[in-house]
Amino acid sequence: MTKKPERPEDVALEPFFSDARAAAPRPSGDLIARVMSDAQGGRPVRGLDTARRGGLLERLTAALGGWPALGGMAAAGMAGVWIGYAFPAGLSALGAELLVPEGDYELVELMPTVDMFLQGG
Amino acid sequence: MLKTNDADLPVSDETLLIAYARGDDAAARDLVHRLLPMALRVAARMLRDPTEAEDVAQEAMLRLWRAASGWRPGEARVSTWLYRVVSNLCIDRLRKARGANIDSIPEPADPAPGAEARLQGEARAQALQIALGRLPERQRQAVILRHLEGLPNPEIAQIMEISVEAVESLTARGKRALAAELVGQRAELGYAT
Repeated sequence: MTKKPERPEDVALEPFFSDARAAAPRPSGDLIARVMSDAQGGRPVRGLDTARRGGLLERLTAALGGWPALGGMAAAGMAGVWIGYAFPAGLSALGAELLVPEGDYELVELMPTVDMFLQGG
Repeated sequence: MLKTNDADLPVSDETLLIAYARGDDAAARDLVHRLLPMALRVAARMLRDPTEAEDVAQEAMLRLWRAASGWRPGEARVSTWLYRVVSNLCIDRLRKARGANIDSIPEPADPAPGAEARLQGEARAQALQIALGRLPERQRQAVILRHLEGLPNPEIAQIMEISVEAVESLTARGKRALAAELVGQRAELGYAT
C-alpha cells in the first residue's frame, strides 16, 4: 500500500485516493466470459507457426493452386510420358486427321511491300 | 486492496502463464481472476469511458495469451508486463481521441450535490477521476500506479520505462495539480476541513 502521507498535498489527497481505491471497478461477468473465450481461442498450437510460414515446398504448392492442382499436373505429365513411350497405334491416324497434310498449304504474304523496301533499300 | 504480487502467492503468475500455454484451462481462469481486475482498474482510471476501459482490459489480456508461448521465465514479472501493456494501450487511445475530436470524449457525470453518505465515497472518487482526467497522460499514469495501485517507484519506473527520479517528478507534479483542484472541494464532498 502507499506510504504514510508526509507532504501537505499527500495529506490533502490521501482521503480522495482512499475513496477511489474503495470504489475500484470490478470486471463484469460478461467481460470475464469474453476474456476466457479469448484465452481458449488464443492458446498457441504447437507447430502452428511453422505450418503457417511453410517451407519452400509448401509455398510452391500454394503458388500452383494447392495439392489438387499439383495432382492434375502430375497426371498430365505421366500421360505425356506414357504416350511418348508406348506410341499407341491410333495416334498416327489421329495425327493425320488433326495435322494439315503435307503440301496442302500455301504461303501468304502478310507484308507484301517489305521485300520491295528491302530490295530498294 | 487488490494487488498481484508473485512472491506472496503460492503459485506465481509466471508459473500459471506457462501452464496456460501448455493447455491448462484452470491456469487461465486463475490468471483472469488475478490480473483482469488490475487491468480494468488501471484502464478505467486512465480513460473516461468504462466501455473503452473494458475493451482495453480485454485487449491487454489477449496480448498476454498470445505472449504465453514465448514467455521467457525470469525476464519480467507478468503483472509488470501487463501494467505496461494496459498503460500503453490507454495512452494510444487518449492520443488518438485527442487528435480526432476531444469533444467526443464523454465527460463523467458530476458528483451529485447532497448525495447520501453511502454515495459520498463514490462522489469523491468521481471528483478525483475528473481531476485525474485533466492531468497530462504521463503524470496521470504515474499517480495512478503510485497512489491507486500502490506500486513502488522502481516498479513504476520499469512499467513507464523511465528513471525512478522521473517517476518521482511526475507523481509530485501530478499531485500538486490534483491538490490545487481538489482541496477546494473537500468541504463540498463531505471531508472534514
